[in-house]
Amino acid sequence: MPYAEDLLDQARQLATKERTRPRQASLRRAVSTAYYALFHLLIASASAHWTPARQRFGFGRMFEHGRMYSACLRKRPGSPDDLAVVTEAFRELHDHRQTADYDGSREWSRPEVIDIVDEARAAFDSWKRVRKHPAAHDLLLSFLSPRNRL
Amino acid sequence: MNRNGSLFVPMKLDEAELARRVDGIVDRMSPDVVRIRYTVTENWDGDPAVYFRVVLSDQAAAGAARREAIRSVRAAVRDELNLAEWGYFPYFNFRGVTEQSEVGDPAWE
Repeated sequence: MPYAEDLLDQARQLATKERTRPRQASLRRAVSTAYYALFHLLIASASAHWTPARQRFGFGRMFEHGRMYSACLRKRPGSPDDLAVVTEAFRELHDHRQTADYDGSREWSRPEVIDIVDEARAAFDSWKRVRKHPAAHDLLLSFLSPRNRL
Repeated sequence: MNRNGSLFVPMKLDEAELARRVDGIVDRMSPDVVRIRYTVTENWDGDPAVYFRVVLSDQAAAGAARREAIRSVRAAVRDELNLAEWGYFPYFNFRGVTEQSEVGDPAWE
């Protein structure tokens, strides 16, 4: 999933952009980009299963931030720990991104933002391990469910 | 119902009990954990949330020690605060003592 990986790399670059005195603009964009990296990783994983391939971009457009967030809140008893890492990270990054994008009063520190980028990286690693598990497939499908029945 | 259509019915959070449990975590994890401040509110999606602002010692806030301290605090909050029983979601931010003094945010003091 090169685009998602590129976004995560970009998040780290933004978080460490200025050698000294990091700018709030860089730090806030880093937080937002870390969230979007995980968002696009999950969408790409779901879209990869869709055929015909020419429709995958359109299929990916069906995913909504709010619905994915709600799906990540649901308890999934018996599912692998790696899946919990992914859903917890998505929930938290979703909220951090909104703070970064919309709360201008909030000051960020560089180590704090790097923590958030690291959380996204840990979610990427966990997703790599769990993405073929049936519970992961259920999660991807639940992103599209209007009432989170799955 | 939250802004995305999910329904959450949180129990009334016992704030005195929450404070007691948070103090217990700080006492047990001192000196790596210097203090924990928190806010009980709603998150951006309208769901019940507790935002934790964790100040670590400068030593615990550096390098590999920081990752371990973060992991330990998250585990302690999950296992000892049990926010899920009240229907609340935790959110975390971590800073070292010097890091926080440079930012100067009073919400972390």
